[in-house]
Amino acid sequence: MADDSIQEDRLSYLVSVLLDFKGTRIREFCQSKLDSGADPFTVFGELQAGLEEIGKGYEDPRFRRYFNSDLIVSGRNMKRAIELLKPLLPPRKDGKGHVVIGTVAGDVHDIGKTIFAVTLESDGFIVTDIGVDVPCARFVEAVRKNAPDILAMSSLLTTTLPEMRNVIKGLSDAGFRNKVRIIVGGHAVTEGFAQSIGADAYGRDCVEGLRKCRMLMQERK
Amino acid sequence: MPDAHAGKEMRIFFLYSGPFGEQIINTVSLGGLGDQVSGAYELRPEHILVPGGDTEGSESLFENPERYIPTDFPVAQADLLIILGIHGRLSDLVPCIARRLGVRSVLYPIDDRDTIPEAKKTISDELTEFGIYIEFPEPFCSLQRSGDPCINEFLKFFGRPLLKVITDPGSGIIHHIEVIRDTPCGSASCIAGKLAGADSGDLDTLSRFCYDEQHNDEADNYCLAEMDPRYPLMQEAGDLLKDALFEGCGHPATKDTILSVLRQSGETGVEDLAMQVVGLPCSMTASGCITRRAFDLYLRELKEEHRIVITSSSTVMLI
Ligand code: B12
Repeated sequence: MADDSIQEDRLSYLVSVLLDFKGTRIREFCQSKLDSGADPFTVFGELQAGLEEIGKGYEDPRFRRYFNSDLIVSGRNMKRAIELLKPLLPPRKDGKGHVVIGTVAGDVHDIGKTIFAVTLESDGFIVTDIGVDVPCARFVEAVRKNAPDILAMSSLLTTTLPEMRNVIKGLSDAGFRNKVRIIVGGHAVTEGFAQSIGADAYGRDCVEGLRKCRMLMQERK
Repeated sequence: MPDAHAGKEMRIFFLYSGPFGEQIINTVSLGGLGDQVSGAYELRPEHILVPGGDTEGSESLFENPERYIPTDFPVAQADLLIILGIHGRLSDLVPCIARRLGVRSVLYPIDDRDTIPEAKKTISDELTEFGIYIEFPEPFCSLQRSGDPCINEFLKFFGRPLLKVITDPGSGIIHHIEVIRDTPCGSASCIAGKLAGADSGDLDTLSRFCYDEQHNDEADNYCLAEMDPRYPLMQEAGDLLKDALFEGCGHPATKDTILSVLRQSGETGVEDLAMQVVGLPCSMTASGCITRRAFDLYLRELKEEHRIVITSSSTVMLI
């Protein structure tokens, strides 16, 4: 019981940090975490729990506690945290492989995708981030132009999931499917869905995603 | 009834929730009305509505709202109560709170479908019974005039954006923009500040800048209205801002375009007119809006201004 209420207090504190529209509290939060010796990924992880809480409050049909404006402001603050923490990640040791990453067409969520990109970079991958709301043709073009080892796609919306299938088909039609390994992830994606569309891997979060990317590189060798 | 407050400055009280409300309170306070804010109170749903608890149903709240006013609610007086983003179910508390504060008017903007008051009509009726005026602008920045003096006082500062663009007479380069009326979220003055040095004749760039910048979350102030394509309040706010800028520059805005289409084509069906105006690219002779909502708003206004008539068979004619 006591643990529950500590957890609740913790979450409501994280939510209040994420909902400060001026961004002062997120800066203070990140700084104090770093001062106490936490590494950037731990900070991302904590903030993600706060975002989950906002997402739950947004989605709960019986008791909706958060609204569109809360999603926008929390997203903005998460981006502020990424800007602040990115330079503090361990120095890059390039050369593990090249990943092209983007969020599929119709979806503008870029936080998870960006954190995953940063995770890969700090592990030594070279990452080409082609942004959000990326149409199929642009994914295909990026694969043609960069000849990456891996293509990573993110989708947070259930409605945009079919786009992932589309991109894989687009790559096959253009003759690139056998030249690149594909990993998918994001809030809306499941392992089963990844398999059903013929992706090579799925990552529930950045840590699993990184492990899978390392595996894909091993398989490639 | 003698007005005890006549001649004094209008006092404003905010009942709000979340960053949507905070941003507006911040803008209003910094934008000229700070001295007139008599108080603000954050009404979070968690404080009152407990899932599974006895207050979950709106019934008891509806029947006995006074009981649910938080005990730490401040003792304050105000003329205008502005409600910002509170949970729709908590709107039952508004009449009680309005009377406690002694307000004459209530401004209840709707910038998100999910915050629409559950009992809009009941609230209106109840307030009207007590002689309190209420208005529900949707989105907030669409409001430019009101039937109420208090709200009109507020609209001298905030509401539908109104801009005066000062350009260099030779080059047409924007020297500066005077913000006569800012959007309540502050995005209009934020954008105006960034437009100094832009070419007032480059309509495409100006309009694109408006639409992009209006919800750019990298800016100090930005639109937080709902953006769902099925209920595009944010996009409509973008239209209103683009038109304010075009009017300020002396370029044809959407309303001018509606009138000029009617001048050329004569009586036109509403749907046909919408097809010609919504999505029309900007040029020196015409410019459209991107949302049907803005088009419908302009049409209503032109009708109220007695510049057009809309017939029973849904055709539009110039007067
Ligand atoms: C912030 C936010 C927004 C912000 C985004 C700002 C930005 N710059 O990104 C804004 C306001 C723009 C937004 C808009 C909308 N949103 Co939103 N949003 C959120 C919220 C609260 C947080 C998302 C987030 O950043 N999470 C944190 C990151 C770190 O998590 P993540 O993205 O899942 O990423 C992790 C993993 O999934 C993984 N990962 C991510 N990508 C990839 C890729 C690969 C390859 C791998 C291996 C791993 C991986 O790694 C990350 C770290 O572990 C979520 C709620 C939630 N619980 O997630 C809703 C949520 C995603 N949004 C939702 C909705 C409905 C919307 C809107 C449709 C709302 C509306 N009516 O307008 C719009 C859609 C706009 C559009 N066309 O895209 C729903 C989606 C429901 C669904 N299943 O379809 C959610 C789940 C909220 C909810 N519970 O209802 N949103």
